[in-house]
Amino acid sequence: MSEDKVTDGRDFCETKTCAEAPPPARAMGWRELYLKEDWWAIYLGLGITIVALLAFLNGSKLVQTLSINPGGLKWTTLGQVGAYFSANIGTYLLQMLCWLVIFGATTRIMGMKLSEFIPSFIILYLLSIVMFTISGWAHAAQYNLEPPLVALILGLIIANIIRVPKWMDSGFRVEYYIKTGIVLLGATFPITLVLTAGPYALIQATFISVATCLVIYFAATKIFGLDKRLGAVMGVGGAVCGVSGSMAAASAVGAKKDYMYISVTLVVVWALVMILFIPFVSRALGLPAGVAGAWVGTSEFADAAGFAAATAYGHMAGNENAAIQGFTLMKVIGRDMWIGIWSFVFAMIACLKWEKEECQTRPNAMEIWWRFPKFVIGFLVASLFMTLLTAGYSQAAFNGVVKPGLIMPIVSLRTWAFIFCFLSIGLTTRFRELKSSGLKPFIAFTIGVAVNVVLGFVLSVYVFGGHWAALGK
Amino acid sequence: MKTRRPETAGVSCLECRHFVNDPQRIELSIPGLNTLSSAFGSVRGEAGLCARLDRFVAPWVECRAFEKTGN
Repeated sequence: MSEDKVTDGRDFCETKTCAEAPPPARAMGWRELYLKEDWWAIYLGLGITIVALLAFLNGSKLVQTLSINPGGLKWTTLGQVGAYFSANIGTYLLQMLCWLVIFGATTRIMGMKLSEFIPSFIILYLLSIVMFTISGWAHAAQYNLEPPLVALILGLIIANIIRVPKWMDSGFRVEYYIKTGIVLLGATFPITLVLTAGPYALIQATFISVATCLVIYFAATKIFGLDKRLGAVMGVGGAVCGVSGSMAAASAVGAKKDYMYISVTLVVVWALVMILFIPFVSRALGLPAGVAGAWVGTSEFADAAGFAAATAYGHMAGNENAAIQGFTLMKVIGRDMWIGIWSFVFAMIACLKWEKEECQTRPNAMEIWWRFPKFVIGFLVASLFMTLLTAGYSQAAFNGVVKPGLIMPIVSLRTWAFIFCFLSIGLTTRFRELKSSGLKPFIAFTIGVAVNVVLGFVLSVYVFGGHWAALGK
Repeated sequence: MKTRRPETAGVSCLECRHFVNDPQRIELSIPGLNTLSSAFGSVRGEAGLCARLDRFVAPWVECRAFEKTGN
């Protein structure tokens, strides 16, 4: 970094609160176990699963009752909606209180203020009720009112027209909700599916990750002459996990903060485009739900945005399970593991090539583990745990007893977590806050997006299509 | 910029007054970061912002702009 201009002071922040002197940095060490949301997502997801299991084994209806949602109402008149909520108002209040306590307490431990989280979450919960109610309308599918898309659009409208204050982001924790939802998803996801389809997902993810990263990196640096660090930040962002990938790469190569701005803008804009593009193109082409899910998992940039697209197409195709399974295998099992690998690779390149005069010690390979998205472990543990527990039931007993008494309540609670997430994406996307990326970075990233989408389509439909099409059957 | 392993770090960003790795500060200073990601996630590790160099850096990095916390 010897060529860097040393700038003055603490001028990186644009808000009054942030511009105050920061607290001294501290090494996290084992405190990570209660300061990182990945671990809390594991604790919550596995905790809810265990409580649901204990209730099921003891014949208790508590979790079944608390997992209520109006998504399956199939109402045709507002009078029916009114009557339904009048009859169930107490249960919904209790459910809101439960969510508020578990998410409020854990975000407080991570350092957020309850005075900000509580009002924000209550609004999020009420909007989620509205989303479920819309999806429960008998004619919702006829008008393409897919819950993830409606939630996203409603959130975008509120955030950009009404102007939601920044402090409310304390309750709009996109990543926390999706990670919790993914661990809960693991509880209904057979581990046998991970073992049989996982290797194909890893192969497809490897192709796409390497191709997309290299295309963006070389387009940025060789065609447009942009800084190598910017190429790395955009490349990993496009190849792996959007903003999270960019953040990991940025710290690995010591990128300028402006590069993060650029990458965040590009990822957010293209992720929003893909949430709409892939489901509607898939429907026009009549793709099986599992195939479209795998395509979303290959070509969408973030877990949260991908789940929105996969769930939306699952609704359109009438097989939500297959679309979510295809997406999860490709994105959560296949692509997310690349975050640490790319970070380590670029840290090595930066150390051995870009800064070889100054870099005295090689980056640590443990970087791959430190950056690993730990919630994936929760997903796998939940999957293994529930698969083993339910293995002894016959198909008839599973469908007649286990599914309604244990699986469906967990599915409903997972759906709540996903709806919180989809709304939060829209509510935290303030277009006025996004910085202009500049034309060259935009074109370089877009070339990578084009390669990613086409290659993802070919791999998902033609190369591995047979495997993905079999999902959900 | 020198890159060292965390266990051998002595004069690294983690002890520097310019280093900010509080997740809320990071999210506030990079608009849009929390839209599809989070500074509270594992993938960030303990990386943070260098307020002096205006860079996003790993905590065990050391550089010529180092100033001990409290100075």
